[in-house]
Amino acid sequence: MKLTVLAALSVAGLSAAALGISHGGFCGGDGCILASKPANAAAVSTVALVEEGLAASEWKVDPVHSSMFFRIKHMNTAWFYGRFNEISGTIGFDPAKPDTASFDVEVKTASVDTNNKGRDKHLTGSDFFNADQFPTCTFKSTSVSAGVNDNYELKGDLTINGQTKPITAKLEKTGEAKTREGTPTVGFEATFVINRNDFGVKYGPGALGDEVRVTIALEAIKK
Amino acid sequence: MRHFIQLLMADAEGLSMEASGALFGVLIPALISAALLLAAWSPWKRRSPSEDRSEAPRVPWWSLALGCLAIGIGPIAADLLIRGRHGLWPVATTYYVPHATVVAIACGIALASDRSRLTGRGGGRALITVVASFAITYLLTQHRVKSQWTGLERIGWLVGLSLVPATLALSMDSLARNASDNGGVKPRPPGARLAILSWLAFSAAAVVLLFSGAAALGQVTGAFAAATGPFVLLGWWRRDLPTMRGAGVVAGLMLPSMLTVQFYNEVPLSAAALLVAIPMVAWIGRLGPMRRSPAWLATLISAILGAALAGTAIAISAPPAEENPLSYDQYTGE
Repeated sequence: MKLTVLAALSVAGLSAAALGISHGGFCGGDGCILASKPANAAAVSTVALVEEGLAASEWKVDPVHSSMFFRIKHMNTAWFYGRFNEISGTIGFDPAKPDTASFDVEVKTASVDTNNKGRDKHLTGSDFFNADQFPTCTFKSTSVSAGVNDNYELKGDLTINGQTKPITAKLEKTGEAKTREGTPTVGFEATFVINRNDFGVKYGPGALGDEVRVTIALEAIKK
Repeated sequence: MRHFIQLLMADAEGLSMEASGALFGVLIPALISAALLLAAWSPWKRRSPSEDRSEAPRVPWWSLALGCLAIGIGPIAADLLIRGRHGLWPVATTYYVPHATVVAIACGIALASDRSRLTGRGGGRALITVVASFAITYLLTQHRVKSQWTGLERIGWLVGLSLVPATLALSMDSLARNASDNGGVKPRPPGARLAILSWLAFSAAAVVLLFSGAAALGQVTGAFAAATGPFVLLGWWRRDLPTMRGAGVVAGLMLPSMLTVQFYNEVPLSAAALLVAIPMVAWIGRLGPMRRSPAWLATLISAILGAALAGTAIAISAPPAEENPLSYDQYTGE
């Protein structure tokens, strides 16, 4: 598959090399890698360009620097916040074509953390996330609509407790940088609101609110 | 009926969790059980004083069938009211408790009648019970069967797990059917012994499940205890009645089955074993010197032993204070 894509993109790759593209796209904002390639290695550069162009749109979620929080109302009185500690996934993102972005994120339900062991035990049990049968919650995007100033509308399928529902989230590209090793990184933050009853999490009506707001901040590293 | 349930749920939305738990998990199943037992009452009217009351009266099959419904319908209603409806074929395995209870009720009703060729013989009864137990075990562990266990492991788990409810159900069926049989010694009335032990077992199992973090399932298990309550009262009042015949099969199938939830929550295996052993304590009344003891003494000793097992199971499963799923939500300000 890689060879096929390489062949298909080779013409575009040659053109790109010739033009010396230098925008913040593949390269993280401070200049295109292409510009630093020696000109006498054109053939290699083309392949490298195409390879990097293919890989450049694929990012792996950095679990160490990604966070996910949720809030729910307790006794109709105060918002309560919790988090999930284990997040993973991949992102397909090309800044030149943000509406082609894709997000495939997975969260381990057993990693829920509300700073209370008794409550965490309850949350992973059959009353809430049922972690034995459903070890993960997942989100797979279906579309991204470009907005203004790195803000987008993200749509996709959210699966909790084995039930999948379409949701719409506000998505913001929060920044980009490079690691110490020079590998590009990019950050996103998405926020959405769900009704937990839609996903079969019905325990504690009245004591716990139905609406849950989820905020997930992802830092991804280029593959 | 649907309109009534909707009204009930609408009114209950304003109730606290404790109040709604008491209403749905205790009062409603107890009332349903009592109502069905009353409906089965007419064949059980008092006989003439000259009749030997230590011998169980012959009750019609439909009367025993109502007893099976009495112990099972209340918990089904409690499950739907407490945990909500999740469709006829829910995605989550834990929502198949009503389905499992229906299978248990059907098995109890089948075994309550010994007129058919199949149920009139011990082998046939065992076969029906094993099949029902296998079906119940599959319903309550199907996510593991489908995606976590493979090959021989799958067969081993299914067969091994289903043997426990099958054994307990057949044992309770034998105890209930031969309640007056004292091994040649003067027959004793059935009494409330089996009902008391079933009530103890379900009550303790409910607490153990609450400790494990399965609060809703604990409430549903408590509903089984509540549904068994009228059987205790009836068995105490009319000691000659075989109240647990058929119903004992339902209890025997569902008690261990509710504990398969240990796959989802941390129920210690030792606690589960003790809970399952509680109804078996009724056999003590037929052993050695206990055979010649008065019925009330045998019942008292069985109840004390059963309570000891229940207390031990609860003690084993009680988590440390900081991990207690029952108390994390309480802050007194001190």
